[in-house]
Amino acid sequence: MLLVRLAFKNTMAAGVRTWLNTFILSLTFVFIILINGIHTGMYLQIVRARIADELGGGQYWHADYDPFDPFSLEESHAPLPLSLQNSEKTVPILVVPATIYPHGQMQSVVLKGISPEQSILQLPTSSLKRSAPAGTIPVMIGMRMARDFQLSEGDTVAARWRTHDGAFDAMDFAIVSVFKSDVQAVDQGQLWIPLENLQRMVQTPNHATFIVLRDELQILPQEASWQFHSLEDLLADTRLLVESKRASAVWLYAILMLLAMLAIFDTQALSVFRRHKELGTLMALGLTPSKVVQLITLEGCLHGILAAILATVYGGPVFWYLGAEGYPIPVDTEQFGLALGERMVPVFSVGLFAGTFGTVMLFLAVISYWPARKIAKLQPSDALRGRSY
Amino acid sequence: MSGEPIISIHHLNKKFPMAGGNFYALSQINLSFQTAEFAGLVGPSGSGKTTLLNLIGTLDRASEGEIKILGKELGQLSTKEAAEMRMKVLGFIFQTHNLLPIYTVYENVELPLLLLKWQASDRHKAVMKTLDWVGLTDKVKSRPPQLSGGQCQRAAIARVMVKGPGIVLADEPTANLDAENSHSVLQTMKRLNQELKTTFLFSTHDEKVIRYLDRKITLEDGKIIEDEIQNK
Ligand SMILES: Nc1ncnc2c1ncn2[C@@H]1O[C@H](COP(=O)(O)OP(=O)(O)OP(=O)(O)O)[C@@H](O)[C@H]1O
Ligand SMILES: [Mg+2]
Repeated sequence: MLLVRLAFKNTMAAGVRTWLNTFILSLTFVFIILINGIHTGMYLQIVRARIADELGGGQYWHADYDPFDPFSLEESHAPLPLSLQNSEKTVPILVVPATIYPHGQMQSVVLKGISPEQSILQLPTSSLKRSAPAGTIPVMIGMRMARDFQLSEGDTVAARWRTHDGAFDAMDFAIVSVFKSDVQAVDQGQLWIPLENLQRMVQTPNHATFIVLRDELQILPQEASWQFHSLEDLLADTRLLVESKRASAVWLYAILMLLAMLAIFDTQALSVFRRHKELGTLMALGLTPSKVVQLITLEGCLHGILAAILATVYGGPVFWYLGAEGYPIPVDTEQFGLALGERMVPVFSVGLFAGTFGTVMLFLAVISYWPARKIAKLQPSDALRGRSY
Repeated sequence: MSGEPIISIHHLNKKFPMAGGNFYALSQINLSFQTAEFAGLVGPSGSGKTTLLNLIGTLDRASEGEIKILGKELGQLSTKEAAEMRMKVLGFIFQTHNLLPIYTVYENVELPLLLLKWQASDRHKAVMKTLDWVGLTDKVKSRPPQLSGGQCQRAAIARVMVKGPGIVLADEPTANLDAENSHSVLQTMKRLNQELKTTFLFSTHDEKVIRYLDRKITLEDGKIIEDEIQNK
């Protein structure tokens, strides 16, 4: 307790130097927390959007289905297995490659057949029930798709696809709605069609490519040609992407941390060097050399506590505001291929605060202890004389 | 003088490693001091006075031989026990006052009692009494940089005396003081010696200090060449 008192007093007496160190360190706290909070918020936001619009509570995939291989799509569907026929708990989706001709251009797209009645995905599929002009099939597209191909509600577009036996077939699609989703994977390069229409178009009644489940807990029996993909599997790429973004931000706080640690290391080394007489006097008064080392270490660590307080004073309101309101995201952010909304709401957890504080304090303890450690081996007379550090 | 000596030293050597062998700063020192002695080490610069005070004060370790304080062999003490010995039994006065500059006079004097974990009210009483003794009651809230050299040295004496140590080791306590301040500081110490039976051991070149001593021990090249009683 006496050591804490002494350390506090000494640290305060160092004045500007202490506050400079503390300020840099507090910046480190604020940046680490802010950037991590943004990444966590980003991850959760994407996960929420993907679950709502794309993933549901997990999926069964046809064994040959590979969303990244358009050439396999024609083969990767099969009749819906009996055990997965449950309109309450599953949404079968059929994926078929096709070509459309918007404004005279030829574009490869995929058609996704989905039941307009479904309620598991939050896509507005009920709009597919709207009436389309005679001789056309109602389709809905996402906003990105509409923008990219300059299509809008009420337009019709010619489409061509292959039926199950390989013959080409063609028809006009009427765009009955344009929906907004934060998830590119349900938007770009695809058109949503009532499932039964699509099944008829390719002559594969009752076929599906993958099946979206309402919730993961309720896992249906494993079928040889249908593989279960848990939410965790389906989100692995998102997790990887966000983690790699998180990792690429590390250099920023590594630099800040380095600056802060250098400043404090310098203070500590100087303090040991310049205050040798004072430290020797404390030993003469009855402190053991190792207690003196503790005192110096404590003085260094106090910077961390002061910095945490300072960071709370000016960072706290920022965290509080951002955590509640978020901030607007520039439109370009979509280029990252992440499904972000219009606002980004960072998520700051107790674990983040505690973890950041703990990590910084750990570094600080080492940095503070290091220059002082040799004192422990000194005779008090050496300290008093200021020799042999 | 009779009974167990408070300090006894036998066949003490202190060597420092040097290029090409050891340098003996002290050799074959045999000495003992009784409670309430007012003794001093004199001798030319480099004769080993500070070295001997440091060894007695557990600030350094002997190379050979033994030093006993209150019957305890210092060589046997752990670092912690040595620190405890300094805290409870010993008081140091240095050539420079060595006060902590950011602490007030009051806080400087209180520090040894904080280390000894005294109660707040006891601390306050003892600090004020001691400051009264050395005549610094009006400087309680001053910090060392605001005091004169003599006032600082008196504050340093107060810091030693506040805990009532059995032994005070004073290494050239008047070296930075003018004649008038030297006398006032020495008179203060002499009074403490007589009233509290505190044992004093000085190291000094200063004729003024030497005149106050009851016993004068002369060192030369790390050996005792004379040990005489005076003023009796
Ligand atoms: N840590 C050390 N390492 C090497 N030599 C030392 C050390 N401390 C003291 N000495 C040597 O021991 C000798 C005695 O030194 P000491 O400081 O005891 O002298 P002193 O009598 O106090 O001198 P002064 O009157 O100048 O203070 C000197 O020759 C000094 O150089
Ligand atoms: Mg000396």
